[in-house]
Amino acid sequence: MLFNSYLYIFLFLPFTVAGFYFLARIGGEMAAICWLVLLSLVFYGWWNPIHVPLLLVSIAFNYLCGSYLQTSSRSYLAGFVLAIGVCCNLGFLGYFKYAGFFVDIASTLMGADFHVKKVILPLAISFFTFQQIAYLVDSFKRQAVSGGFMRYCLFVTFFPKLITGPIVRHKEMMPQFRESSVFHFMPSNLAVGFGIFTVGLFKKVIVADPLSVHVAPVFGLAAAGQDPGFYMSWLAAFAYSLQVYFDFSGYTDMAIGAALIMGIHLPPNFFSPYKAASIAELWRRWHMTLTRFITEFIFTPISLNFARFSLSLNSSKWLLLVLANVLPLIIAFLVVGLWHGAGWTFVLFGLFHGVLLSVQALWQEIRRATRLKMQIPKVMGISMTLLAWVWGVVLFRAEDMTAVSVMYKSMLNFSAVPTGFNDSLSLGIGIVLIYALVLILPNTEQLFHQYRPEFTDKNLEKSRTSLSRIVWRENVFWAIFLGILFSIALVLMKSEVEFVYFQF
Amino acid sequence: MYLQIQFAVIALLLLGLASFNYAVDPYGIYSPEKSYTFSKHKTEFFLKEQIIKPYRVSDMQLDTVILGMSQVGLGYDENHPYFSDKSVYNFSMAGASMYMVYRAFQHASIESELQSVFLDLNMLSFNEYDTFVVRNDNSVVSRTFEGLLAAKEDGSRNWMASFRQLTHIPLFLLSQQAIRDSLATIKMQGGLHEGWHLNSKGGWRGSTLAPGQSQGKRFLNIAKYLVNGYLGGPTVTHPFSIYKEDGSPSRAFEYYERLLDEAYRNNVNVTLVLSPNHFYFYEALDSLGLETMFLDWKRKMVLINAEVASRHGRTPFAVWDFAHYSPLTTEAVPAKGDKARRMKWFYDPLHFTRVAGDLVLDQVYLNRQGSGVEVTAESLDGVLEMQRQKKQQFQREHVELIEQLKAMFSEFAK
Repeated sequence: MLFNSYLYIFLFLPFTVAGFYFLARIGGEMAAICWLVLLSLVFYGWWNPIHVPLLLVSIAFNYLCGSYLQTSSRSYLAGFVLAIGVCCNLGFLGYFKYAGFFVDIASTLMGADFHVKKVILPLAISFFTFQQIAYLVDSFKRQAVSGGFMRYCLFVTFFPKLITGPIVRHKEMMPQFRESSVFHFMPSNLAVGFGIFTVGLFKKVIVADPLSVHVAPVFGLAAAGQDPGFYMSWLAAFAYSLQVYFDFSGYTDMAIGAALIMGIHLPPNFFSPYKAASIAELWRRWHMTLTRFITEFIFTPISLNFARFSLSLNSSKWLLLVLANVLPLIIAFLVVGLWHGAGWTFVLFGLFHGVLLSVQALWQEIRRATRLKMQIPKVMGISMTLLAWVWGVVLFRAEDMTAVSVMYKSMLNFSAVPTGFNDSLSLGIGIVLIYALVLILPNTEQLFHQYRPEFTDKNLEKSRTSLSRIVWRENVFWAIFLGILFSIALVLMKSEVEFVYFQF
Repeated sequence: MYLQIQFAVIALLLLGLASFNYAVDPYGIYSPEKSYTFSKHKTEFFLKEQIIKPYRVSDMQLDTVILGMSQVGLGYDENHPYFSDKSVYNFSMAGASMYMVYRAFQHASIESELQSVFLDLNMLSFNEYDTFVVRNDNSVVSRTFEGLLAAKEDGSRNWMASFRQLTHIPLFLLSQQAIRDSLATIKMQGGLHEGWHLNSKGGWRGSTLAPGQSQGKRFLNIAKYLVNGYLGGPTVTHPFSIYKEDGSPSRAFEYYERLLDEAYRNNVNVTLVLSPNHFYFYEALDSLGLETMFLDWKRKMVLINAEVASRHGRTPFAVWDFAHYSPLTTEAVPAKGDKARRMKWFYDPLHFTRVAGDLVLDQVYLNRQGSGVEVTAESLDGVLEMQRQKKQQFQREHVELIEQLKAMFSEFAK
């Protein structure tokens, strides 16, 4: 079931919310939680019911492991249980998502003809697996507190964030499921939640979906080995950068809004990434919960261990930098790439960003070592970051390596006679205008900042412009404005257009 | 107060829009019998029949359905005297494959107590290599069509269909497409060129040609598309064939057999008609080397019917063959420059007029004279031989025209 479908908006969401508050009132908190779990499973099973048992097995297994880890002393056995738990989760993910890819690599390397039976990828497998790995580690560190099986089920299956996140942590969700205020209907939650949902729906329907119509033919041409031309290839890359941002951040807004209607606060996932003045800053603003996960569970442990190893060798500061920073960054971003998909294009996407971040880290170190005062002007930083992102996003969108190579050749063919320029002039102007709006308007977090202050990052807040000081208020203007916005989005909605991030 | 204002704004806008679409009813699904002057002709149905018609059939208690491709929608009159005492619906769909025809039959059977079916057969429904035509191709339209059908493919009731039909109501009332179609419906009323429109019994009505438009030119354009864009030619991913790669019959024949099997089992009387095509179509088949395939298709239509009937110990359903050279199918085509003359029996090589459709129905149901031949397994060879002779005779009498057509179709096929 899609968030941008009539079924979800007119039936599923109102029915679920009404049932939740009704049951909380007559049957207590546990009845309301059971209701949400049940409806979340219906939501998940709507695509393919055969994957519901898989999800339930994964939940039961992790809950048992987590319960043991929370009660046992930090013994070798606990470490063993943690290792088994993490390996099983990775094995589960690996079987469904990566088996074919790695078997193909093995076949190529060994010159053999290995085959693995193609399996249908369970929806959202990367999201719920990562969340549960984090839960096991938190349990091992005694940072997770058991709230009972049903609350755990809700933590994993809670429908607004089940399919494409945000990737939530056990410790930020469980306390909310215990809070009695969550189970009482609050009109202000409905007002803010519905407002955020409307902004998300608008982003998806009015911006992302129309852009996809211009992106697909160009990448399709490249996949067929045909040169789309210099102008069209750049236009498609810029358009796709906007499409993927509005699609994914729109979905996240709808998830956050739907959860907030039920009084549940989900963490933000985007904070104006295209206002970032460096690639590191962009990743602090883009898919923030994935970055948080990768930093905590991959980058930091590797970095710490490599740093210890480097120090034990009394190595130079440059070797320390490479071992403690560059290598972990590249490994972490290879994982980011693979997380997005089992394919060489995604591996290269991760590698590209890992290398960019490493270059940035080295540059900062050089500046420190040479006491270089030179600062890149902010406008230039934003432009360069955007350009690098647009270049990398081709890897993310292209169907295969042929398409990547064709697109890059076209984008670098400066001497090519411009074709399609006149036909697509309005699209080009449209793209420039959307980028301008992205740069000057507030993001959803800023718009609703006073109602979600716990999620405001003060460092990121510095980038406010005068227009981005616009904030939502519970007044007649916003009631009418958002009402009209919602109605327009609903009418222009194409019920079958899926979200880009569903494949992950 | 905030929420009250916001929901009032939304309700006002959406209810206003829904009321507009409901009043115009561009697809004729809410009150098909009621005809407002501003939206009498439902012009915006094309390629949406797979979604509109299952709704209508679910709402009606039928005893007869008319099944087939677009020729059926355009050519057969649901108000023909034979149907006057029957509750009939024209469940034809543009580009319908035999699979879709079979599924339409299943849907109508489970929603109503069917007594009779008029099935117009066209070889184009049996193409193995047109995914949309052969079977469910997982496209949005076909998924929606499947979801709305009250019967599953195994014949059991699809209990989700009614629910899905409900969930599609917003699509018909609020979507951008519905608004566009409502506005277009209003715009098309009473214009100079009425255009095709859907009547309350599922038939297509209206003129296919605007005044001043040359029918001869249009006729040749469609013949060109048929040859170059469907049967063969560079734009077709796989040339037309009623056989699989290994030479066995297309899956479409299984659906034809299943339809007959279920009809014999449930005592539904089926009348089978091999659709009258204009002889340009047969000449095009000859030019592309598909004549043998066409004859084999005809044989299969008759023999499968006979075989299924004998399996059930029943007399085979009547098979009427109109797909041959006859006075009906050899009507002269106006010259390209002639913008005034209109053909009496054909719009283009595949679509015949209601006048021609009436001739078919008169002969099949009212025992009047006509150009159709009733074929049985026993008479099949004789009939085909007789048709071959008639064809040769026609070609001998029109040597120059046939030469021109052959040259033209060879050119089209490049």
